[in-house]
Formats: sequence, structure tokens, C-alpha cells
Amino acid sequence: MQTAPSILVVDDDQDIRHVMAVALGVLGYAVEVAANGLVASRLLLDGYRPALVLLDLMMPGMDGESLLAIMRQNPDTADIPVVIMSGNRVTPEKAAELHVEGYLLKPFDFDELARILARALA
Amino acid sequence: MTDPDEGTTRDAKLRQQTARARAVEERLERSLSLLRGVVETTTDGLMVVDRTGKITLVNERLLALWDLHVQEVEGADEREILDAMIAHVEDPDGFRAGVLGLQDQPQRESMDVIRLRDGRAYERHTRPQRIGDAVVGRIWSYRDVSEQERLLRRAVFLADATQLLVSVDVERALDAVAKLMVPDFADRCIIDLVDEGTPRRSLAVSRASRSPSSFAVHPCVLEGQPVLYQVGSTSHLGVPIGVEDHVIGAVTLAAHPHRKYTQIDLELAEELGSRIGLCIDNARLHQRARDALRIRDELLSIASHEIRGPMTSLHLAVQLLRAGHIPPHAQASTLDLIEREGQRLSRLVDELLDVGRIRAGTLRFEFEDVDLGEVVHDVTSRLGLELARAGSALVLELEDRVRGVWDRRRLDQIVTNLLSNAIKFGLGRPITVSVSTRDELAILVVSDQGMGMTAEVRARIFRPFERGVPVRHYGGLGLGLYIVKTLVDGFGGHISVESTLGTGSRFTVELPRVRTADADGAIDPRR
Repeated sequence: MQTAPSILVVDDDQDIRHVMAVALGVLGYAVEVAANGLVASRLLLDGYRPALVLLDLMMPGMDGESLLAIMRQNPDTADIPVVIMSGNRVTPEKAAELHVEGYLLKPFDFDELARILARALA
Repeated sequence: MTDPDEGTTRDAKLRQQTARARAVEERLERSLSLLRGVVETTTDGLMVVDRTGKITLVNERLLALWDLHVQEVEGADEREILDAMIAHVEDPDGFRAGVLGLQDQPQRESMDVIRLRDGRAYERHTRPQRIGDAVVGRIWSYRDVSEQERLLRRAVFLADATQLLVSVDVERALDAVAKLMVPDFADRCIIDLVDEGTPRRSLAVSRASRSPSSFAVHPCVLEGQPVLYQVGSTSHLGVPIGVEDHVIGAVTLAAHPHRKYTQIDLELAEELGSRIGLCIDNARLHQRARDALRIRDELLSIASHEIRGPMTSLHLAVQLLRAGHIPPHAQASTLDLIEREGQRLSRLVDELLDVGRIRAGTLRFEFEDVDLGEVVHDVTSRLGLELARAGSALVLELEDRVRGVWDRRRLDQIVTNLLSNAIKFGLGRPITVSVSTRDELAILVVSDQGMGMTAEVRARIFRPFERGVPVRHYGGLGLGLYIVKTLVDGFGGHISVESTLGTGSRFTVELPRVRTADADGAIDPRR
């Protein structure tokens, strides 16, 4: 039996982590959550290799861009696809600058989430 | 033999000639007297020299102008007094060349303006003295145009200065104005701006050879008085720079060695001081407007971010419920989430509206008899879920019946904001809320053992759009403590904070239990 691809959700908003975990579960993914970049980087350091990271940019502790920089520096995590979730206007230019697979502008809906994950993981 | 008739005729002719000569002499005397009268009453300084350069006429005005004595001048050669004249003029070489050059051109007429080192200015006219067609000498006249010159230079100077002071770059504008003053109007120019009561040297411009910063602001100037004074042999003047009746700085000028400042110079400098004040005021208003725009943009950006978070949760939760993806056992917690996010959104909107009301001065209190302990109970039970989620234990130390005349809803807001902050920054450690009384005061203390703050952060947390942690990182608009302080001030109370980084924060609110004169139900947005 094939294991479900695992997705790491990094967001400081507890309710968003909760509802995303439910939504991703419905879409058939396994989910790990982290409240900020530091927690996420520890998971990655411990060997966790998600199929994709859904990443908020503004977080206490370590923000999304810092986590991205750390992931890109490590050959083991450099190629993990990342989709940004942002409450502020993320432009396509910004997404290109960060070399991410895509971005979701909050508030997004269930179908948008499903579509972008399918495309990023294709 | 002489013919008697012939003798009679000769006598008659002689008498006739004598009478004619007397009449001519009389006319000549009259003319000379008229000339002397005109020469001495004219306001111009006059001097006439013959073709050999010998001075043939001077009037009192001319002697006074050049500080000469009649004995030095009478019958003297023009070249002999040239040095005495040259000692007074701003441009000695030009003056000497002008006089000597005309000696070789007896027919020439000319007019120019001579500036003296003490600030006076004279219009100098010269033309040949003629008898018939023959040039027999040269007439010089000097007309005092100091006042016209001063007015013209003042107008030009103020126009130039005003043009420079239109800039909102105050430092550059002041520098340019100071350079306009030196060397024309002053040998040295110092501009000081008052910074928290102490004059701070903003800039100093001087002629290269002089030390620019060797003099201090005259104390009278800092009290708003323009002043003329002497330091050693140098004439000084000082004028205040004012904005709306406040002295915010001073302009100090030191004159050239031969110049003495007058009341007229002081008035010009005063005008300049007030224009500099306007420039600084304009620049401050401009900066304030820019800050307001920046704050508005920042607030809009934060508000957008803060609203989009709960909107996302709401959106997804509702879609998942509607599609039947939430199993029955998880439906209650999902509905809790929806309710919570709704509350978060309405709190954000309330905060934004409150800040709008505070800024517009339209926030009003509805005073009634309120029990502070009851309000604390209401708030803690409402925030129970958030406390549990944060993992912080709550310790309540409430004295019984701490009642006062307050606005219940606003008091609730004070307690809610302080407790929400303690939960947010409390790192899951215990939080204590205490209520007590001291004399006529009710004391509310909210303390946590969480992140705490540095002194620098403590100093700004009650200001709008400030927070102890980087923007957006901990949620909220960064307005909570500003609103709390405004409300506490509105009740005539006082809020303070003790905090150390890493050991937590303790907010103490002291509220008068009876309505004070301060608590008039209206909030002053400037407080």
C-alpha cells in the first residue's frame, strides 16, 4: 500500500494549523504542523522529509523567509517544494524571487488549496 | 583848455560805469551768496577740484562723510586726501582707480555707488566744471543712499532666504541661508536649535580665517528677546527662532570688524528668524503628514494581514463542514473555531473603530456603578479557552467589593486587553490578576512570567502602533496598550509597567473610584 504524501504546515496561527490539518487530511495527505520556522527546521533537522511545505511568511521566532534560506542551504532539503500562504499581498515576482512552487493568498478556499497542491506535487 | 561840456560828459560816463560795475558786483555777490547757501544746505556732499587737482570747494556734508577737517582740505591737492577717503571704502582699489582715471578724462561724466565699510552707501556723481566751453575743473557730489540700499538689500536678502527656506530639508535650507548672510551681512553666523531645553549648535558659517563656534547664544535670545550686543570690539546680534510662541532656536551674527549692527539690522534678522521658524514648522508638519501616511499604510497592511488569518480559518472550516468532511465527533470543536475566529474579527474591528474615535476625540464614557472584581471574573471566564490553549494557569487575588464609578464596557476592555497580552506573551506560565484598594484608588494588577521587555521597549508600548515585538509576529494591531492607556487616562487613572526581559511583565492600573474632574467622559486624543 502506498503511503500518503506528507505535508508540513508552518503557521503561527493555531486555528489555521488546525483547520489546514483537517483539510489536508480530507485531500488525502499526511500532515505535520509547526508554529514557526524554528520548530519546522528542527523537524527537518531530525530527518523529516515532507513532500511539500506550506509556509506562512510572518511568524514569531523564525519567519518563513529565514526557514526558506536554511532549507535551500541544506542539499537534503533544498529541493523540497514550498508553497507560500500569506495574509499580505504576495506578488508573482515575490514568489519567483523566493523560488517557490506557488503561493496562496489568505483567505483561500478548499478548491484552491487542492489545485495548487496537485500542481506542485505533479 | 578843457571844454567844460566835455568834462561833464566824462564824469557822467564814469558815474554810469561805476554804477554798472556796482550793479554787476552786487549781482555777483548775490550769486555767490546763493551758491554758498545752496552748497551748504544741500544734503549731498560736494567737492570741486580745478584742472591741477587743487580742491577749490567743499561743503560740510562732504567733510562729515569722509570724516575730514576743513584745514586738511582747504587748498589741498585731491590726491592728498584720497588716502583718508580710501580708508573708509569697501573697495579701495576700485575707488582709487575711479578717481585717478577721471583726471585724464576731463570731459567725462559718471555715476556709481560707493559702499563704505561701516555699511553706509553713497551715490557718487561727477561732471566737469565748465566756463563757457572750457573745462576748468571737476565737481563731485555724494548722495547718501544707505537707507534705500539697505531696504533693497533687505528685500533681496529676504526674498532669497525665503526661496531657500521653502525646502522641507531644514538642515540644507539653514546652511544655504547662513551662507547667504556670510560675508555680506555678517562675518560669522551661528544657528542653534533648542533640543529638549538645551541649545544644540545646528550649524556655523564664518569667513575662512575665523573660528566659527567660539561664541555662545545670548541668554536673552532663548527667552524670546532679540538683542544687539558687543563682544570685545565686535558687534553682535541675536534673534530667536520661534514657532507658535515657543523659542525653538536662535540665530547669532557677528559683524565685520568695521561694522556696527543697528536696530534696522536687528529687525531684518528678526524677520529672518521668524521665516526660519516657519520653515522648521513646515518641515515638521510635512514630516508629521508623512508619518501619518506611513502609519496609515502600515495599519492597513497589518489590518489586512490580521483579518486574512481568521478569514482563512473560517472559510475552510465552513467549506469542510458544508461538504461533510468533518466527522461528527469533531464538529463541536470546528464550530468553536468558527465562533472564536468571528470574535477575533470583531475585536479587530472594535479596535480599529476605537482608535478612530480616540483620534477624532469622539470616544465617550457611560459612567455607572461597577464592581471591578465582577468585571475580572467576566473577562477570565470569557478568555478561559485561550488561557487553556496557551497552557497558562490563572491565579486570581480579588479583594471583595472593589466598586467604583466607571464605564463597564471600557473597564472590561482594559482588563481584556491586559489579560490577552499576558496570555500572548506569557509563554504558557502562570498569570496572576489581582484587584485591591488603596485609599480612594482601585488597583488592578496583571502579571505574567513570560517574555518580558527591555527598557527601550517599555518606553514605547503605550504609544499607538508600537509593540514590544516585531510587527505582525504576535497578531493584533499593536493598538491594545495604547487603547488601554487612553481609557485609563480617561478615567483619571494611571497605568504603569514593570518588566524585565525573560522574567515577565507586571501592569498596574490605578483608578479613582469616584469620578474625578479628569474623567469628564471625553477622551483627549493628544494625551
